[in-house]
Amino acid sequence: MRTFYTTILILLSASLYAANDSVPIAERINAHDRNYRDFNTLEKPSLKVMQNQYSLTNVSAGMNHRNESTAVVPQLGKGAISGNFDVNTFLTNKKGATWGSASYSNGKITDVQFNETNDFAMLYPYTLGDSVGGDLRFQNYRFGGGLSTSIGKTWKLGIDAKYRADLAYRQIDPRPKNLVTDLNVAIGFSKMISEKYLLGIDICGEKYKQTNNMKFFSELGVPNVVHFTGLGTHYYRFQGSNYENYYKGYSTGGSIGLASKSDGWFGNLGYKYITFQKIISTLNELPMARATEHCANAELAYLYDRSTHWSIKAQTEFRHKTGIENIFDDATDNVYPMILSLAQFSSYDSNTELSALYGQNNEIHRWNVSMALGYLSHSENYKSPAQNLNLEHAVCKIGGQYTFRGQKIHINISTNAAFYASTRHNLNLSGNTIWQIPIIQTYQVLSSNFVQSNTAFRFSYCFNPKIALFIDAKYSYTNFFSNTNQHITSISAGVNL
Amino acid sequence: MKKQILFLMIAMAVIAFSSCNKEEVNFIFPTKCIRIIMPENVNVVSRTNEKVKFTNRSTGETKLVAYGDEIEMTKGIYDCDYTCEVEYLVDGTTCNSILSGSVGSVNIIDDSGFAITTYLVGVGKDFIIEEIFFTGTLRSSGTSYNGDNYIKLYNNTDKVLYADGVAILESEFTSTVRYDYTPDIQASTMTVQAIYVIPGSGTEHPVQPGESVIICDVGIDHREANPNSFDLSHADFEWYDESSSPQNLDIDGATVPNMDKWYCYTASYWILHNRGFKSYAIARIPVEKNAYLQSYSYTYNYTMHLAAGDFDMERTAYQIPNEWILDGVNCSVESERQWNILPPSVDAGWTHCGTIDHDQTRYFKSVRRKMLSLTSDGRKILQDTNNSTDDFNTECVPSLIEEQGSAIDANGTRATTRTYDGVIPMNN
Repeated sequence: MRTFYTTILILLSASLYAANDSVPIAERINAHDRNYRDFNTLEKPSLKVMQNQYSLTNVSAGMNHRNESTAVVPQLGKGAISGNFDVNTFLTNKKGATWGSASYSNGKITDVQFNETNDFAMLYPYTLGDSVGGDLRFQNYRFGGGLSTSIGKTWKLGIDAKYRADLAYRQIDPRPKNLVTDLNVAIGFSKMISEKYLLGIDICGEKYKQTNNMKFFSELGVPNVVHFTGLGTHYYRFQGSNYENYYKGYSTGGSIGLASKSDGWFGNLGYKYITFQKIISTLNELPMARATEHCANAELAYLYDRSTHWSIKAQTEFRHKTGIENIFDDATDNVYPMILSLAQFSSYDSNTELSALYGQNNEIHRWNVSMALGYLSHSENYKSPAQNLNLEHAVCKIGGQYTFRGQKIHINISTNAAFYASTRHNLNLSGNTIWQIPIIQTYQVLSSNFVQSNTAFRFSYCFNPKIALFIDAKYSYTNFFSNTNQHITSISAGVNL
Repeated sequence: MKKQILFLMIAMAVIAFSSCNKEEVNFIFPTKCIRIIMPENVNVVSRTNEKVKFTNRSTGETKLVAYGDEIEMTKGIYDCDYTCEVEYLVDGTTCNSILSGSVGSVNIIDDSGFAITTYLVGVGKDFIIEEIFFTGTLRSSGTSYNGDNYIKLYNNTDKVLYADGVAILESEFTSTVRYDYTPDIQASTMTVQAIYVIPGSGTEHPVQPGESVIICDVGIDHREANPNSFDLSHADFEWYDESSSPQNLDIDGATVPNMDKWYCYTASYWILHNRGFKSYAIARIPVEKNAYLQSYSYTYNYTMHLAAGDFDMERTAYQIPNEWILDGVNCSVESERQWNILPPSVDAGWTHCGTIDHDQTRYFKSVRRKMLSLTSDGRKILQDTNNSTDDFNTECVPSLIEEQGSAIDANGTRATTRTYDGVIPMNN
């Protein structure tokens, strides 16, 4: 907590110092609102300096709300409400840029079912769950920062570090207490390969740990607590009262990227390896399972950015996860000897999208429209008993953004709508158990067609050339044709420096 | 660009390699590779209807197949049960019976095979355990109530048996914790922590064929203390303890005779393990109490391996040789079970009320032995294959609750159906 406050103070001090930037705040806000420069490659530390030529700091507080008529993923709850406080800054200097962020959020996820573990998607399928569930309170802390600096005339060094600490708990039975710590570090070098282009290479590493500790205070008994193994199966032998477990893992990866100072080609090719192990503490540190995941992504875009701007972009991402269960002999003297490992679970995800954008801008107005076509697929397989799930969607998106820049006022409105057409889906489960309920429910929702729209509005008022106040509102609506609706709303207010 | 393509190819190669470098999950297992070891001194003529049941300890999945078949198996750790109908010769006469055997925690990862030692399931000549009610009841407030536990013995033979001298036994070990106990005498004896014996000279307590003996904790009408409980004031015997703890005194039911207490580990009073982690047995001990207590103590050692280090432990209990045991029942819960305390010759299986530790659904339930048939005079014949997994119905409404129509839950819902064995209704 002390580190968190210290980070905020450092960020605010740096921002106030940077507020002496001679560029008016309205222009800096305008530059940071350009959605057509959202390229993955500019998120890497080696090329992040190309993200923007102007400094900007956001200090904001807000509220977030999510509500679903039927839980899309019961393990993630039927809704959530939270408040948050964020500071993030991007400061340019002669040699490069520095950036930092800190945030705190406090809230509640409602009606979480069949899951008592944080970071569900990451740790799936080896999560902890029970048949009771309930609301889950949480507190999340994030802070991080980095810098990019020139080394000589043609090289740049970028370093980035992020840390998050999450706490989730419930104060009625079942009473999980989950603690997450996650440290990410990335370092990269980029080289000017021409007057316009930088070629960057980055490597990253992550260290992750989550502890789950459940308690029951009821005198009469407890519900069954199970350790899931994928597609509604669980480790039958270790169900019951093994309430304490932890996950430890790490990831490593690298990418190569290309970015232009202004317009031109942008590209990125990345790979990441993620692995974690699930250990049941109450069984004398029994390593129940481990998972490995390979993620590869590629992006290639061309941007033309003058009074007329347009871009075309192709991007793809592929993920393959393997879940390996360890099999143990009988425990003697409280020690379970491991006899073999079985790769029972696997999942594949792919997401490919082609998009195009066209717009115009002048001193006061900027607008653009965009269109994208894509294909999404997700599949899961469990070997014995043989089970599988497959979901595929073709996606068509349209969107637009309008920005008004006045003397004192800056307005940014963006909206998009997407139609997800289910092209293929199937689910084969073995047997009939209550643990399959969330799988079936998610399948029923996601195997249908659905439409999604997102709208964002941001109004900034510039008190003087250095400070602006803003309010920001976002709304997302998803209608699944299986008669399920999802509403996500967030609103925040703050100051730009 | 060439470098980018090369990088992508390397990434894909890593994915492909990692996908292949895993052990196959399933394989074809020939059940013929299981060696069936016949009981000694039994002249087997033929075996028919041979079956093997595999229970995967990791997944809970069970497969029942004919012995000799080839089946697709998931590699793992299994409990295996073998049964067949057997014809054997005794003094030139052909007899028919069931041959049964079990082996627990077998690693089935290839076709190298393993052995199952079998036992002849003979016709019972003495008492068997008909029912164990160890879970207790609940008050209307939802709190648990002890004292109304009972064990029911049954005369499954066609002759009069005498209950005099029959001992009820509770295992020292729990089925949920296992250590390497030395000296290891588990195959030939039962290590016990409680021994209570029905008093009598040998012919004082006759039990007719088809009749039961009810042995309870406290022989009183429990409905006065807990309206959701039932009347045990007419039980045949109770186990009573002279407690040395003033805060934990036992109740001596006035209308129910006490058993002879030979030994019990507790200084206060004994109740059955209400989560069902112990094994229970009945035995006829052929020696006098003092001689037994002098000669059959068992001091054992084991090492506890904990995160804090290794701890050498020493404890003392009593041992009952298998030959003295009339019947035994292993109890446990699926989620915590580590082993069968009794050897396969006494009980090759195990039974339960509830599936997890502290299971809140276990109250008001007992384990009851299955009925095989009814004789023409209405006497029930109970199943006794020395495998309580097969022989017992689990999580039944206790027979005394059925008889008295008392509560089956904390809300006071009354039992309305009577059954022979917890499953088969009496009106059929």
